[in-house]
Amino acid sequence: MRLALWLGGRLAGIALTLLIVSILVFGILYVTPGSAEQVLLGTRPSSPETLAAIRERYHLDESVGSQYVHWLSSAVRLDLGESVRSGQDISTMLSERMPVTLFLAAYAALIAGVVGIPAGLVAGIRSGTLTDRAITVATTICVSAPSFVVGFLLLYAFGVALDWFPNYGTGGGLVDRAWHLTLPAVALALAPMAILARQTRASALKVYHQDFTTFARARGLPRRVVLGRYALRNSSLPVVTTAGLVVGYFLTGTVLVEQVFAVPGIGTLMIESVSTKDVLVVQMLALVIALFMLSANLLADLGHLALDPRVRKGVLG
Amino acid sequence: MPDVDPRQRADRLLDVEGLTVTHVGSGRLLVDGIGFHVERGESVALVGESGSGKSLTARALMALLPRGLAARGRVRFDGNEVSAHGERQMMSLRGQHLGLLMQDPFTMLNPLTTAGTHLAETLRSTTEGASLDRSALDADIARRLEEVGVVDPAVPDKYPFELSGGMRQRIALATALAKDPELLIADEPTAALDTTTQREVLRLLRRVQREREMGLLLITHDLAVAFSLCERIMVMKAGRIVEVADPATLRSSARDPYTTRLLAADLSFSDARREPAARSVDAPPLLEVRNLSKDFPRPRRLRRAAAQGASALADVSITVTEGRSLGLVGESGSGKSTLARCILGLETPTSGSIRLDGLELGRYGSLAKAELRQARGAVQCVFQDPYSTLNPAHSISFILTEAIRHRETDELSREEEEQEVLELLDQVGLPATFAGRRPVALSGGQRQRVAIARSLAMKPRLLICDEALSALDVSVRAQVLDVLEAVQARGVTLLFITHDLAVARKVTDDLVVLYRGKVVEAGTTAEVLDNAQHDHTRSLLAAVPTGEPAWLGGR
Repeated sequence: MRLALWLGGRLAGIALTLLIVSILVFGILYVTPGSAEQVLLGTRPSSPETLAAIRERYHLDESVGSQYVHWLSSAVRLDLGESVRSGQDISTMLSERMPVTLFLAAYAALIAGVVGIPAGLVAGIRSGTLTDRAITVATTICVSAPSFVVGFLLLYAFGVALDWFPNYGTGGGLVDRAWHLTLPAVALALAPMAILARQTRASALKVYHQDFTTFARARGLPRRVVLGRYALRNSSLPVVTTAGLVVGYFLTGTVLVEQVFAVPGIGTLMIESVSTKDVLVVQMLALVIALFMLSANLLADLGHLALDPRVRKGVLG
Repeated sequence: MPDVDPRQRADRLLDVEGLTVTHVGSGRLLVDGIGFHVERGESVALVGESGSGKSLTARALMALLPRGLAARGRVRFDGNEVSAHGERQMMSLRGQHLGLLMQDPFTMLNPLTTAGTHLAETLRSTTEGASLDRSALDADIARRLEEVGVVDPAVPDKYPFELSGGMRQRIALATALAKDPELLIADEPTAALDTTTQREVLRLLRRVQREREMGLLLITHDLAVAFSLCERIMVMKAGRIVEVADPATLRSSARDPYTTRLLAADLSFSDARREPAARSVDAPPLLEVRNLSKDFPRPRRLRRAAAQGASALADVSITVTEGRSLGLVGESGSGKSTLARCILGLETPTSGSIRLDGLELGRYGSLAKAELRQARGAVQCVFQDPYSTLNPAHSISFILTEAIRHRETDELSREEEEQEVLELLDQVGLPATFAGRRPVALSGGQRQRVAIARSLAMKPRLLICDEALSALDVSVRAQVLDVLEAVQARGVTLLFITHDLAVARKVTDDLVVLYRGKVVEAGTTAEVLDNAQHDHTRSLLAAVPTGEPAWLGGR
């Protein structure tokens, strides 16, 4: 019950934030150079009839406020209109592009977590050793290498020279898709992985020298328990917060990576739409990204709730 | 150790020869070739001040030294040489044969798992325990909690933050004993607890040790505690054991001058205040607290009250007479610190009044700027933890100058400021060379003196000492106590908050006993302590270590 109340509060907060974001996003139409009719007309031939049809369709004769309300209500109904550039239905475009990007983001998150967190944990526990220094150097490189450069390198090394992974395409079916998207996912995952590793290292360094870890070792608990239940679980609290922020990065980070690997996802769509002033699509993408970020943060908070009994007591009583 | 029969030696539970602990980087010797032994079922104390190397000795025996420290020497356990053991062999020794109980119950338990999990994971880490089914495991957990006096069936499902310090230490003890070790090393097991809880935990420790006929190596800075619990005392100083004797011998004829000093520093409870108060009880009051109540809103209670009992105040009235120091005593959670925070304006009382110097401090927020200045100048505070009370980034002279500037409305010249810094250092017994140092270069006792000097810089009329001595070693405590007596002699009135009645007896003229947020007894210190009326006062009195085994009950 308390959980439902808390969750309700958080969802209401997300809805409110989205509402504010939507006002800003709606404004894109008006800050784009050219009149609204012109922008919405795009490259189609201009005639008084088509312009009138556009005014009719988007309620341009009404006040800005009511235009916004019309726009928002159609967005909520997922009736997103057509792309100015291709005339395609926007919801269809999103539903075609979304799965690839989400798969890519989830894959990258998996890589970042599965590699970054244990690496950070080992570095923190063995601080000062060669292992620690090697991991620290590696994270520095990962965090400072631009993803598109890494992308090209990966593509050349594993796609062309070694020919282990395909150079393009997204594949069908789970395994095939994973195989096709491995290189892009790695390119996308490197920077967040390094950030997670750094955060985990700092956190583990502190936790491993705390009394409770020493006391666990003094009781002869197996390594698995000391590392997992003591070191990892206690280190993970700040890491979860960071992870929430980092995951949000995936949807924007994917712009460059998708471009390099020619993945037909949200990122490529974003570039195409921005470069052709396809305002309606850009607006929808901005809303989707905002929603994604907010959900990632909500997930991080839920993670805290699951991990930390003190937070749990605070929320659930 | 000369002339010990090798067979007798082989039969010892723990036998240590030439143990050294070195700091690898600097080559500094922290434990300098010590040798000692513990017989089966024997209780031995290792006594020394902080920094003497006693805790490092414990860590070295467990092979759990912090990184950067290395141990050498021979350690034989149960006839087997264990000093050459690798990590894997040590792992099977730890817990099962050699147990370790640490100092701070608030940091020793995993904050994310329940008390029951701590016991379960420890029990399961043995070969027999791994095959236990859930109900057998639960029964074993209940049995082991019962051994340490925890019978509440809800406790195994509680998280550490939901339990009091004493309760956590009991859980920790049960956990340290879960694999039935033959030797328990207890490293200052009660230093973080208040006196009443300390006595309970020590009592428990002795009972368990006797029932199990387990060897006990108690590490402590408190001779009185060692005397009442152990058969043999080893005194450690600067990495060496300087004296070994049984309690009676040590007390009557200590050979080493260091032991003599430790014995002298140990406050005897009969020590009354050296200098009688300057004013009589009828002098005009400096601070009057009337019908003060403080309730914490719920979220705060969840955080603090769950661990310490409600730390709210209910209808508290106290009077501090100028020139007569008032002691405020009670166990943790009795509301002592909350009262101090209300007087300092750090908490806003729910109702009631605090009058000081013609000012109403109960509504601190509504004071005018000049009044605030007056209030802050009149009351100052020294807090408990010397390690977090000073800004580590600043030098001592900067810290003191800052306080001086805060006091003065007109700017002082550089020379005047420097002069005053030196005077302040002198008042707390620190040499002038300390002015340029940073807190990190200072010991706990020295930091606490700087904290006192900083408060004095404001020229307060009332100095609140909130457990200002509790975190200090016995001998350092005596020195800081001297400083506080000198401060009193200069005309500053103390409001002395403590759970230690021996200290209270020594520095205060009047005493107020708080229990669960209420005043249960008040009067002059001598009256209250010599003729205690309330049960809580009596239990506080009983908790003062006497150095006799009888203090812990039984023999």
